[in-house]
Amino acid sequence: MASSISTQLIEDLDIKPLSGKLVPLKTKGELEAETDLIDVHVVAVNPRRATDVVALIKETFPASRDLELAHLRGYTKFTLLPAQLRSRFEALIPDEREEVILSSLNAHVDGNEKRPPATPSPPVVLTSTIPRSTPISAAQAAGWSEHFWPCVYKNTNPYGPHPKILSQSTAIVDADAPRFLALAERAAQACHASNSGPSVGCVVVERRKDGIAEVVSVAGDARYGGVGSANSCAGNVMAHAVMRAMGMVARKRLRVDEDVQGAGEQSAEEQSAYMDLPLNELESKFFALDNIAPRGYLCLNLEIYLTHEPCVMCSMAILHGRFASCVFRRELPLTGALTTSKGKDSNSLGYGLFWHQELNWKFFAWKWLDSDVCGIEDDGSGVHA
Amino acid sequence: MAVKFTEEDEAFMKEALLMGESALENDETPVGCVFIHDGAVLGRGMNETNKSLNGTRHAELVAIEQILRKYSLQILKETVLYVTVEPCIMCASALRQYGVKKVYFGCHNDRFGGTGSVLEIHSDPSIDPPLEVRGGLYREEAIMLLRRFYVQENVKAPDPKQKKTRELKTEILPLDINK
Ligand SMILES: [Zn+2]
Ligand SMILES: [Zn+2]
Repeated sequence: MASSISTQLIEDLDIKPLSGKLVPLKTKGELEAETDLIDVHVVAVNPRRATDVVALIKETFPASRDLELAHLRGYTKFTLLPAQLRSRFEALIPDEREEVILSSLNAHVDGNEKRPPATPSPPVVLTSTIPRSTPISAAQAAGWSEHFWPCVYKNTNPYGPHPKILSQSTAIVDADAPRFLALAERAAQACHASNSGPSVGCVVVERRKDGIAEVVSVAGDARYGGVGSANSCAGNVMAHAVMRAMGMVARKRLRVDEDVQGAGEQSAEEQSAYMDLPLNELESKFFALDNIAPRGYLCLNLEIYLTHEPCVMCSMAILHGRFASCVFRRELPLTGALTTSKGKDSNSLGYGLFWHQELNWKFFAWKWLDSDVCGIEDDGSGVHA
Repeated sequence: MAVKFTEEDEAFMKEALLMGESALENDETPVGCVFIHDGAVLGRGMNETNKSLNGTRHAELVAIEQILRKYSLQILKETVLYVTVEPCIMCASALRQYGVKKVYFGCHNDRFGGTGSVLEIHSDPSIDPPLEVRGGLYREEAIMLLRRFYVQENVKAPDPKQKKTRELKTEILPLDINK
């Protein structure tokens, strides 16, 4: 079996992989789509007249064309309706079971109770609630079909990563996350033990073309070490684990590129307030390896594994670095910037920075769910990671 | 009616613009800043992302690193920052966590701005006290720096098609009051 340069190092550390699973984070758009329900009109028609009625509705309510509802069946058989809707119709048209129910979804928009004119008998029009957004999974489509209206899943996701690509990435990251998260824990403890900072750590990985993962930097938090005093609770913010790990990647690139083409501008190897040189044996071991592909750009397409959900600064740093993927273990609702939440009453920040419509880079993000939730200590959430 | 900027504000922002100029000379995105303490410049910074191969080496953090070589963390809480471009989301969060007293910026940052353009990291709910921010000081000068950078980059680009877009746009859009 092929292995990476860093594999032996990790084996020597005798790290016990975590047990649990990855849960993809929801994007802000997905969360909003999930609960975006609107009221529309539905009408019962004779199947032979369905085409006429649709044409008539479109003509009578021109504004209806603005409503994008391609994920819902325009009209559907009575038997395919959700039970609640079927019984509402049954109460009004008890004898005409053979009728097809036509969704006059398009007839809504202005909320007008006007009925489509010129049908031979007055049609039965009901108001019903439907999901306005496209379903993003087969399960969601099935659930909506059962509760609202027959619904089609097209294997796309306008509100987040494409389902196919996400599941491929999940499979790749899933194989390595148990070891790398455990390594991140080790990095967190190493810095914490020397009073450098809170027990927060991370691991940066480059995925080679053959799929093998190479650990390029490992860092703990050093906000209380090196400079300043620990009496300020925020400490040296730039020394959060993510910033340190990214700093070490950049230094490694300069070093490797200098070796390769003699062009890199090697900066002096002395610890600065960035704290981006190794602070202990663990960090040094990985930093010393020349195991990053030469002439790379920032942290483009690298993966990062964290003990905690990163703060706003670190999440945006991950974005600036153009990482491909991010896995974290502990959610930090008060300070974390990757998870999403809905509504002002939620006490989490809910920025969902990994997949933000207005930002020019998006990455995959997962929360790690430990199999034994009791095994994970609660270390309070009033801290920035 | 907005309060006018003082002569002192203008003088400090000119210092920040000079830092932006040197960034431009060094082929870095021309953003510059100065941290002021007791009416004097405490630290200066300019973007260094290209030189360092590190996407986080923004002017604000570069200046803070310089300050922390000589001073303790506490001093940052008594500083005022003048930066030519609105701090990005990352820097806005860092400045708020460090407890910087006030930020003056030149032009808005539509792509990454963390103090109003994309997000409002300075004033959103947080465990840290809010960050006081005021924009629009020497805005045109800050934009001109950025435009000159993009022209410079296009000249270097190997694709000849890009050279056609090389002319320098000198007209400046009015400040969007919604931002
Ligand atoms: Zn952080
Ligand atoms: Zn920034």
